[in-house]
Amino acid sequence: MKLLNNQALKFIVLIVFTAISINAFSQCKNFTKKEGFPALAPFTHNGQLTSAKFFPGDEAEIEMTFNGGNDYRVLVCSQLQVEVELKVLDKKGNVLHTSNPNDENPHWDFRVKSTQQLIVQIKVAEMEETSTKMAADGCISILVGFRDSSHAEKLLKLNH
Amino acid sequence: MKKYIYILSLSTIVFACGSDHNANSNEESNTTANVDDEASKKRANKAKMVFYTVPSPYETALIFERSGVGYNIGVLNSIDNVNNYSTNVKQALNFGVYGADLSYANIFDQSQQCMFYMNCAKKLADGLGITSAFDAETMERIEANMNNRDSLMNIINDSYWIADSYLKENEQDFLSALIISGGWIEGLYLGTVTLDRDKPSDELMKSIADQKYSLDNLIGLLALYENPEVVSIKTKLEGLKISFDKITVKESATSVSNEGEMATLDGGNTLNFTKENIIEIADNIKTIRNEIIE
Repeated sequence: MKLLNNQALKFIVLIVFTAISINAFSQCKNFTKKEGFPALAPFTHNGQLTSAKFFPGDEAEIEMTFNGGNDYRVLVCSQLQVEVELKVLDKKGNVLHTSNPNDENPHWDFRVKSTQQLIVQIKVAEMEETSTKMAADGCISILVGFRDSSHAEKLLKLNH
Repeated sequence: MKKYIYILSLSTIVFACGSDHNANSNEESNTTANVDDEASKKRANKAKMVFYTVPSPYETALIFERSGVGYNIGVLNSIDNVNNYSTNVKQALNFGVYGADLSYANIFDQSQQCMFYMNCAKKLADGLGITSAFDAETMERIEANMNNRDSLMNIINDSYWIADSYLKENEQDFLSALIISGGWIEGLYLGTVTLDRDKPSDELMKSIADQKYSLDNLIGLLALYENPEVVSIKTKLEGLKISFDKITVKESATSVSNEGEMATLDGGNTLNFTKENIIEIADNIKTIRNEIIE
């Protein structure tokens, strides 16, 4: 009977963990679709989901290739109520961009002349110890969109 | 898998988080924990999350098109092959391959070919259980935008994003990694297969050499998985990396100019390569690609 109870308990724990993880992914997926994609326009996303649940104090990093001849938008979409810093560095560790602390969803648009391997870092601020708020988690999506620089230039001239 | 484990561990106390700020601020929500509790201290010490991404097949096709690659239908994976892919691993790899073929056909405004490759992608997506990627509404949007290259590409990208997120959501993220691999391999193959081996253009050779960076990122992504099929693809790509490693890198800082409407990045590392290096890469990627489409 005890063995049966243990097995049942393990099964329930497994089911709960699976449900929790699927739920976490669903939340991030829906959040990215609803909040992230519209903010990325007119840039085209790369078709890959890069999001996760974050807590205050968490950090994440993506090393990726930015091709010469393209414009890019690196965008951080956050559900958290604390500041999220976006930093872009080159391979030698030089900081190329740091987001403004007041940006709710920090982003950086830039044009790439020659292909670069860059590091995108995000850091979620810690909550102040004196804060009465609770340390909630939330989904953060790191989105990278691109467009052809020359195509963008043509559109810009047409609009002017 | 590591990413999954990370989210799993974080999720143990955060089951019912809503998707808006108000839901997160609800102090009665199950999503919260006291700032100075033991779990918070442990989190403070944990390692940074690392994500790996590679440029989409569409971006890669665009780069090669700018480098002078022309359209040649004969080099694409045959649409007849779609019925040969019966395992989920083959379906995932070739879902990526057909995605790259689709991007390539779209960039060269080949509407009819796009439709054929769209149907191949749909068939494989359905085989993988991702019916939402190319549902009836999406297929209608595709038909309505068949002659609008940019709109069509956005719809295709959305479909591949739905597939990627569906697989991650359903603990099959190793298949997602295989889709990305298939797309990258086919993208590089299409860029190299029409290379003029006697007089290759400098621009095309540079675009091929630039894939060195993406390959490192792709191998980093595949290294997260222990699935034997993923390990097999990673091993093949590590063989290709040996060829790419013959390209030497002269390190230099990236410069940022803030003149104009947006920041402009220039400089950075310079790649030094020979024609022989590029031909070796072309030969190796052809072998890998032909193995995955057979």
